Amino acid sequence: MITPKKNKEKYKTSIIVQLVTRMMCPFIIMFGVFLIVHGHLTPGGGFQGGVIIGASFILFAMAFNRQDGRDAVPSFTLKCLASIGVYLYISIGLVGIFLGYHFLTNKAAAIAPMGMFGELLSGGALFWINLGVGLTVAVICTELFYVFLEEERSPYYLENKKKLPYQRRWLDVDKDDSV
Amino acid sequence: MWIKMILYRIDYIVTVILFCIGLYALILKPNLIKKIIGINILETSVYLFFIASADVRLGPATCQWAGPSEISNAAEVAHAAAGHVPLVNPIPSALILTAIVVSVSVTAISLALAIKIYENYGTLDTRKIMRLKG
Amino acid sequence: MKKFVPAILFTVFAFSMIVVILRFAPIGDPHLPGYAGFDHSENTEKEVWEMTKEEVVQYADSVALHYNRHSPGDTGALDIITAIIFDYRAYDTLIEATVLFTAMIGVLSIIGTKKN
Repeated sequence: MITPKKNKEKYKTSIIVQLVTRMMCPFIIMFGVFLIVHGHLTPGGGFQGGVIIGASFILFAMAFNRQDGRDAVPSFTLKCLASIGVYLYISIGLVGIFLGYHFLTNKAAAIAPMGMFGELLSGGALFWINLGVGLTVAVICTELFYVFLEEERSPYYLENKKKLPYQRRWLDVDKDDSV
Repeated sequence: MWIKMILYRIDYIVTVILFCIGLYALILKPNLIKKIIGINILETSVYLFFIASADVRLGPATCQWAGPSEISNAAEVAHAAAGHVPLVNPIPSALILTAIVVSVSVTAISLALAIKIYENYGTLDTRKIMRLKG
Repeated sequence: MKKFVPAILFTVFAFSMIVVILRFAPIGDPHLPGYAGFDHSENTEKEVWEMTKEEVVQYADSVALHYNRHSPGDTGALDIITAIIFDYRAYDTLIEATVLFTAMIGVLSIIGTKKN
């Protein structure tokens, strides 16, 4: 597990929150991986498991300071992993074409071994498609959270904050609270 | 009679109420963030409508009919599935899974645009923004 | 006064939607039109409106029933919803993942910082 560094931050969460987060984060990630891998056996799948894994990273960043979380998952890595997830899905579909079947053919093309019904490695390509979708969704949840968190005011806004014309023109609008 | 008629369709009634709340927030609230919240409530009502229309009374969910421990090969499963077991309709669940992901995408893009609007106009009030644009 | 007009309008809207919705089949009815279609290949003599209720149950066949009966043999997956979204409708899910990816690209291009 990632150990938090000593980055300075203005706010500080309680020691209880930090301890519980430190204990629970690996289990949350493990539960997400369980949902992804058992997607064709139990309710759940790539989308649900991916959202749970993304939530664990968000919990880490909210309990400790956000720069520690960002050091663990840099932006470039996340973008690459999201692309890898989508390309895994597309390439599994293209294997069906190269074997002489339609795009995304599962059972007839026999891309992956079908296995015994009800076992982990069964269902052919469903297992690998679940992996690709889970990777994509987990990475995109984390990346969207960090992009919204690290968003900065643009220099245009900082320059024109004081001298915009709406300051005096909106006085009459503020009085009208009819809606 | 009327009570029974309504109670048998109580999920649809809740759907209509949620839809009206979402539409009210979407149309009449001047704040952009509240409009986005209204879109999300409206989408939630649509999810509830689909899932409620998929239900079959006393029917098991689509995952409960065959556990991996009881059934070992595909022939037995196909035999069990060929009987008229009233299962819950699985199609609306699959459709709603797509709709949830699209809703998340729409919300993310809307929030990003709201941030940019706040930076350029200094407010999120649509009345003020429209007055500025003429 | 200005607050009451939207309230009245939305009440009328909700009331009309509820009136329409009370004509739907009750929740949990397995004979909903979305659930039970009809297999005309086995029953060519009678039309749907001429059948009795037992025949309706016997010849009911729709996409949902097809998925419930044939998805383990077709895909080898135990969960029917996973079989639908990743095998029968895999194009849909592919475009769905692409939509999510495009949303990330859009947010990055709108508010992404140069620092990262």
